[in-house]
Amino acid sequence: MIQKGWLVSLLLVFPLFGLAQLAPNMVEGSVAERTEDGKTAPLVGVNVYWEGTSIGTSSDNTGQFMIERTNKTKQLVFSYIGYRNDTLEVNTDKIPVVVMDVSRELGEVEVVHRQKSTEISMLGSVKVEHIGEKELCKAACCNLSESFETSPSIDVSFTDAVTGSRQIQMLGLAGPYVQMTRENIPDMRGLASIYGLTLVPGTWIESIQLNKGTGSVVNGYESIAGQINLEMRKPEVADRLYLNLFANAESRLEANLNLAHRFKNENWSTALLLHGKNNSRKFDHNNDGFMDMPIGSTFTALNRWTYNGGQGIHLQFGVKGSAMSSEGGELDFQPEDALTSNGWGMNVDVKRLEGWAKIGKVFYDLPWKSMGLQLAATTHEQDSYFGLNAYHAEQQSAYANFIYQSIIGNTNHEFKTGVSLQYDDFHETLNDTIFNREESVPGVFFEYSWLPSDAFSLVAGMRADYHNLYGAFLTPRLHVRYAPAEQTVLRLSVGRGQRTASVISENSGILASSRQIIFQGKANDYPYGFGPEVAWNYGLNLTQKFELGYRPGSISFDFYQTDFSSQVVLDLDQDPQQALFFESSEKSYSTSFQGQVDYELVQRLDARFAYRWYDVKTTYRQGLLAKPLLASHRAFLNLAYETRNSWSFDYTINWQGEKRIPNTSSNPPEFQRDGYSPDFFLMNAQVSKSFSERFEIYVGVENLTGYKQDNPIIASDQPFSPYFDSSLIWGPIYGRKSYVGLRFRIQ
Amino acid sequence: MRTSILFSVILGLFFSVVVFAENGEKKKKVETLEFEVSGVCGACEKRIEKAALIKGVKMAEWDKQTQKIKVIYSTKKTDEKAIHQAIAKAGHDTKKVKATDEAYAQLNDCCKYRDGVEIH
Repeated sequence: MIQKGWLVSLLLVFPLFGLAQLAPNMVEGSVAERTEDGKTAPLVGVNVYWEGTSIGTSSDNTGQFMIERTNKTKQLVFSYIGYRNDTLEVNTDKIPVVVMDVSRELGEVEVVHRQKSTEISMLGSVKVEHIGEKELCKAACCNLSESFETSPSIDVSFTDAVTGSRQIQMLGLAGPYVQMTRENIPDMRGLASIYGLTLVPGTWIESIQLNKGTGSVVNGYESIAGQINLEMRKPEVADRLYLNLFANAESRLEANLNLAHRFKNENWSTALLLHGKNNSRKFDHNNDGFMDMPIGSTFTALNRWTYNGGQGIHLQFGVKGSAMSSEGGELDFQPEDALTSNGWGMNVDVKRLEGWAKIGKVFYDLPWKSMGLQLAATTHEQDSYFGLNAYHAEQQSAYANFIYQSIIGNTNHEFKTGVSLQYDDFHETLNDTIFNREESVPGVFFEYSWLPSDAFSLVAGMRADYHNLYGAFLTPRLHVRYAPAEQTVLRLSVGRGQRTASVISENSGILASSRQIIFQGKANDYPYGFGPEVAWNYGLNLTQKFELGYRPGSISFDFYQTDFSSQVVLDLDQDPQQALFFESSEKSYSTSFQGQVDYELVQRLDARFAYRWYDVKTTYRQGLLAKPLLASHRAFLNLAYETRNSWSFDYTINWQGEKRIPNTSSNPPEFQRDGYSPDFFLMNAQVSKSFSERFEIYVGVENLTGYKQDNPIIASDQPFSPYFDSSLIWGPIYGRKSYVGLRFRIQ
Repeated sequence: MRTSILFSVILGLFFSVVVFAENGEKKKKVETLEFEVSGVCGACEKRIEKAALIKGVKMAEWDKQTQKIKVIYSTKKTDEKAIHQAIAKAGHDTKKVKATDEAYAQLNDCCKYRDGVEIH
């Protein structure tokens, strides 16, 4: 019913925006060549594109062209076989006739490279994996937590067998150790660290930048394992209309509608992004009496505005609202029986509202100088129960960051400096226990970049922050890049990270068990009685680009070490009937190694092979043990093939080694689990066909072999016994799933 | 308590740095220049830009297609002539100063713009 209403409103909005579209911000001009008699003649089919982008067009049979403006660059490139490339800086809407010169080198052929879906930059001091739209389209990619399926750097796993929520891990550390930012503003902190991922639809994302290890001090002190930055669809460049519909065989339905509008003769543009998801049928393929996936719906909407004014003023702001509701648990559970032992049920309601603004000023006569102010405010509410556990939580957050960028002497010495404020107010109630905390952290930062040559660069940053509960602390970070050859880059990073653990929401999987939750904190004002989590991260990586048989490839090796000097540990091993939280400064570390090769095997067949190894250990009450439910070994192969007539095939195979399962040996024999899970393979495949620039259809299968974890829930037949536990998940909880979807766009 | 004093000191220092930087730039007179420099490739670009970044020059960007360099410099610390000379000394002809044959001879073969090497 809800879904119908949503569809109706969608249909109402659709034509309105379609008609309201007028000529957006376009640049027009014409291209010509010089004829033998010295006159000019129009040149047909010249490639015209913005430098460094994929936005392009070609001249028509009168030599004329029209191209949409981008805010990324003003350099317009003209290229044509047999002619010399021409680049023009465009500041007006109409440009004079461009006369192209014939290249004197006969037979010079312009090599047009296919855009790679994931690109590792060779230039920046920080190793950043840039995941573009093409990569995001490889997977069904319904929301952010599912969009890392083709990225070997990220592990995605289920938190438990009833809520259907997934969490990501980087360097073997849980998602909350990764700093998430939305266009460089910290996002998905605290309560949203797990559910926040499901509130970002894949089709809203323009690109993802992923970097392992320590991040920049400009974005705060919280990143420990790495950083993931999301760039959402930009009103200035997004398709005017983008519709995505998706359905899977288990009647999960999703619809995404992105609309962008650029106002005529104005500097304003706006985008409206809408997403709706519904899961209405209950399934229990493993016959344990519990739904495999919860039912429910999610709605999110985002509206953003940008303004490009004169004098280098740039302004943007937006709001995003999300509502998620999901129900799970026993198939015959009735909501009236909530929090009673008549039936085991689960219900999670999340409401989240975010608002943000960015104001920037650049100086045209001093191009190295800029100032920017980022502001954000969030309110998040979760109301939920898991069997007999009731959990209610609220979070209010505010963020402000002022950044001033300039140079010292000349452009070989750049710096960024500024002040920031992070404010968080939490109210959590777990059963009868109340946890409140208010954190307020003002800080200053300075980051210096030394760029003496193309072969070497260094970024050194320092933050000083004052936490109202934990006091003052310094966050030093360093990135060094050295390129001994043009195709070889060596990078090094070192840095400190600190964060406050929101222990309940970050480990919400344990709520779906009969485990008694114990906080062994101190009797002080600290959140849950725990101090901050502090860790140092050291990273070294090597990227080598190569060309073999005229096709480009790259090979990279990463090594990262994270050492916690203090951590809030969740111990599931002490007792299978307990979930024990305690603060520890004992040994806890993560060592990770990853090797990855990307190569175009034959024309238009891209392959990515990766292997990674983790050694993640923490000192539990029983001693130093491997982190549970995490594979030490993982191998990954992705093949992507594109035909000349726009069919694309994508295949991913993933092998995960054995994982340690928390100790259950004190349970009755039928409720015990082996000490280690078996290793297993997972395969996904997708075929898509685009019929025109506007229309594309895709069909895919997740988990092709249908491999599943047997009996994912311990004591599923006795959910109110002390042995019930749905949080020991090491593998897929459902089998093969097929899906179909379409994408329709108007540029 | 001590930490908060430390913190205020750091905050104070930070602001004075920003204010100082701002004032500093206003007093200096900053000029932008654009002129032609001969060169043919990426190696030339690096060499030209590096040569132009003498004391007082804040930014130098050369484009091989247009053959033009954009230089932003502080008039108190250097002048136009010095920049032209510095580039010529590296072996590249500017609109106003020709590189000596000795300086030109130092260039790699791929950069010999006087000997018919095309922009590549």
